[in-house]
Amino acid sequence: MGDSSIATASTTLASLGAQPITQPVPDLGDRTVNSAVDVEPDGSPQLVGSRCGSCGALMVPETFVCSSCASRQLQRALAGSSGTLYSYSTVHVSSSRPTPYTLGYVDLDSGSRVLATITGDTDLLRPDVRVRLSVGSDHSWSFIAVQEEESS
Amino acid sequence: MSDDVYVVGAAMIPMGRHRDSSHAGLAVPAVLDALASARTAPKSVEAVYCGTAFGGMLTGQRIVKHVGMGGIPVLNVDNACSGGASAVHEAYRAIADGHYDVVLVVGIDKLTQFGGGTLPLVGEDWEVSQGMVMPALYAMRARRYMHERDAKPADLAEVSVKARRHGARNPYAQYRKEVTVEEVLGSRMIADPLTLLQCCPTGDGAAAVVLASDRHRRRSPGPAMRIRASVLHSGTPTAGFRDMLRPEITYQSASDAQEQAALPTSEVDLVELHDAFTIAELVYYEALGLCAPGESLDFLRRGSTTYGGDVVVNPSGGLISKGHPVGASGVAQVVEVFWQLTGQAGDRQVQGARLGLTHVTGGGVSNLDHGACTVHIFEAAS
Repeated sequence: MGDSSIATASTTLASLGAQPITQPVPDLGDRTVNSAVDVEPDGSPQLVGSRCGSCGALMVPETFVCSSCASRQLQRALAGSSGTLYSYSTVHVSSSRPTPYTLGYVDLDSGSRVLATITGDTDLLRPDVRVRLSVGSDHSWSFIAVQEEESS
Repeated sequence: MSDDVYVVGAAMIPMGRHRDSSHAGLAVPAVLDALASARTAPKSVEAVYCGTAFGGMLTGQRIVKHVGMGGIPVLNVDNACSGGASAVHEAYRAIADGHYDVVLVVGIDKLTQFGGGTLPLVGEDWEVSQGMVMPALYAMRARRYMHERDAKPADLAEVSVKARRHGARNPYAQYRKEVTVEEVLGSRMIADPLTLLQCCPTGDGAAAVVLASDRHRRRSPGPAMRIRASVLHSGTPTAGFRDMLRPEITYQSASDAQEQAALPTSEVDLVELHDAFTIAELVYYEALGLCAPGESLDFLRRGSTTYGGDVVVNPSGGLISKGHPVGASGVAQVVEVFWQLTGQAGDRQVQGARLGLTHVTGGGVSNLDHGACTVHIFEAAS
């Protein structure tokens, strides 16, 4: 198996022969919403992503090519379970999901941003509140606002 | 040095719910009237660019065959809401590069085929698969804006009030009834804090413009405007933080347009911008350079963006009032600016207008601000 990173793919004309057949991959994390979480041995849920071995970028969910530098040297990486709510909205009309539901952008402490379902008491929500990952028995995941007493 | 490119003819149908019309039924009247206003026969057109998001295969060919056009290149352009303006951009480049003298651009979409509700986005997207819809994206932008700028829902509603006031004077607008702040806030919630009257409606529309080289314009003189800038950008992917109040795709497009036109965007007399939702207009005042960053709310409150102000923003009523049949909108904006700069805008004429700017963004894609953004600057041809 050859080095597959794009950065090292330059080849001299003399060495051109039959090229390996370019194959599709099943997914680039564009559909696999539920596989974005895993429960660690200590029981804590974690978002799962990919860390680029070339430029260090962290992407959630897992993928096989770096959206920053196009390297394929990616490793599975845990992206954490806590972050800050950048903004949110409760959606009442939608072509893609039964309503109502609340979505928000969560800026993870690990540096990645994810769109997530927000559950729990929506009265606690405002931009910049702390949120944490919550995983249901069916592997569905969401973020909920961290209560004051919880964070102290 | 590229050749000068002019818009020499323009037409559109009133936007609305035209359920009984086919795509060709919507577009052919606009094509014929645009060609007539350009004093150009269908057979003189050397290429067609058709912008559409949901028109289906070969939309352009299905339209222009009805007026006997064929043999020439017909290219269908999808860039979501920016499709029509992207088609204008491609036509501009083809003429500027010397390939053609006369090109027809069509923008069309028929959203009533979906029966209402939010636009169907592509399910093979991480955010869409979690329930992202366009109103939710803009609602999050609105929530953040209110948080950072200490703005109230009533401030957002003022954008709709202005849009409807402008649209009331536009016979091509889907909604022509003025509304109050109370009515806007009292309409049903779509994506909190955005209510129904803060969202562009579902509708059908078609618009057409004729672009020409200077050589063709001199052969057939008449009302015209010169394209001073034509810019197309795609969104830059980022896996981390994005400032939703500083949409990079519009900042970059506006910056490039200023450079190409060699004039600051603050000098234009009128702007047709992408007000798909109220919050968008406020954010884009700043991104397009019409006011300083952080000042959009005051800019609106002072009346700077209506008749008598610094720049009339969305004299047509914009997407909120005029309507937003996705692929048609970018071309319809050019039609409006053409009418304004050639003194044909009737009751909504911006007096003495010489410079106009159009702006459309397109699409909801994970990790991008938007998928596409197009900015054009036009100047009345003397």
